[in-house]
Amino acid sequence: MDNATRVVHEIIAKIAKKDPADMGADLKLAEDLGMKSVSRIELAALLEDRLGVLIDNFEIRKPKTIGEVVEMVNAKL
Amino acid sequence: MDLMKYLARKAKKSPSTIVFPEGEDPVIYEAARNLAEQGLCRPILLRNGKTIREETKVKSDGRIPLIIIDPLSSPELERYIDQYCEERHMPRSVGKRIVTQPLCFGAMMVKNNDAGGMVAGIAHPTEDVILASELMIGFQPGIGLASSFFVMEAPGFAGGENGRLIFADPAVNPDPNPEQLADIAITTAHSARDLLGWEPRVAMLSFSTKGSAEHALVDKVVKATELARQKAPELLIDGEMQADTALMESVALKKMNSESPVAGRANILIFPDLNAANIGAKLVQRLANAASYGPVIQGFAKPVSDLSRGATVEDVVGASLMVSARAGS
Repeated sequence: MDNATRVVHEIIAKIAKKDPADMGADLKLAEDLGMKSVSRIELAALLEDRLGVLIDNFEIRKPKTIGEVVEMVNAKL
Repeated sequence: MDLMKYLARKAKKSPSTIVFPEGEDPVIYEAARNLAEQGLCRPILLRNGKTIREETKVKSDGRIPLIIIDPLSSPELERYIDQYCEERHMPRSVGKRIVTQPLCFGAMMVKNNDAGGMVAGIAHPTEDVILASELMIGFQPGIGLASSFFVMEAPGFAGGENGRLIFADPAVNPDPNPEQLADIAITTAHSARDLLGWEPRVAMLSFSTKGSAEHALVDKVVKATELARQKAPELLIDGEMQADTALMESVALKKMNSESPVAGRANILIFPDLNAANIGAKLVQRLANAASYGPVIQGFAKPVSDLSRGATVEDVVGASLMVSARAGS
């Protein structure tokens, strides 16, 4: 697992109050992890803080799965 | 008296402090100056630059300064960041990134009673306004979602509340489940009380009246009515019923098989979904030449208004008066 994927898993696990080891690319943020829309603001800020990627509050609403968050982050690194 | 005149009179008696996070926008600036000059509220504009008090021209006996705050140099910033990080268990660097966003800073001012309400949305999508408000201000006790309503005034209509009706939810929730629909009914009743001083009579609308039709769509409204009554037994809420049953006593007498404090004299109509509410409101506007005010966002613990991107100075003043009326209640 590359560093960006590991950090994305850690951040999403923190927001969703889950174990980072249980995170996987196909997991859906809302349906599987119960992440509310409002958590997306914090997700964007945590990604910027840890990885230095700038994602605005509109963009961060697009990804549906953890894998799509990783893709978005990798495209910006 | 039309709604805006009524709200302006109410606002003037006790002007509320309203924060405008999009203070760089010329329409917002003009509206804020108008509000201050007329003594209708105490506007605070957020924008980059020095924090200043700008004296407005005196057009009335209520001389109110226009206050402009730069969130980054505000003395409250550190306190807000500390508070957010503590409540959300976030690192300080993340707290700073979030709280310095104008919508979040404005919502924090409201949460901390540094402002009575927030008016935003001219430069942001509705969802951004809702998310910032949900994150910082949170919902009313027992309410789990944001929703919206229109106040409708149809010429020649004598029912409702002196010819006025409230329609919900025409703008936010596409297909609420029974729990969400119950929350929309309760929140709208509270908004009617706070904004207009009404004693709410809430009709839960359907294509069926008290079992006249059987369908899953009817079941949803029946369930929502039960839940709303359980959660807010002090409110007058009844359903399921058709729109004519809700509004006309002669029809209510024929169709209702039990006494109802709502049927025939409802002043709040809760539609089963966004399709019905939005289409219903547009039809009343166009076919009955009705004035409609809103959509007003509701459900938060403190009042917030969402503006259209194309809002005019008059629209912003109207939205501010609606926030002011709820802030002062």
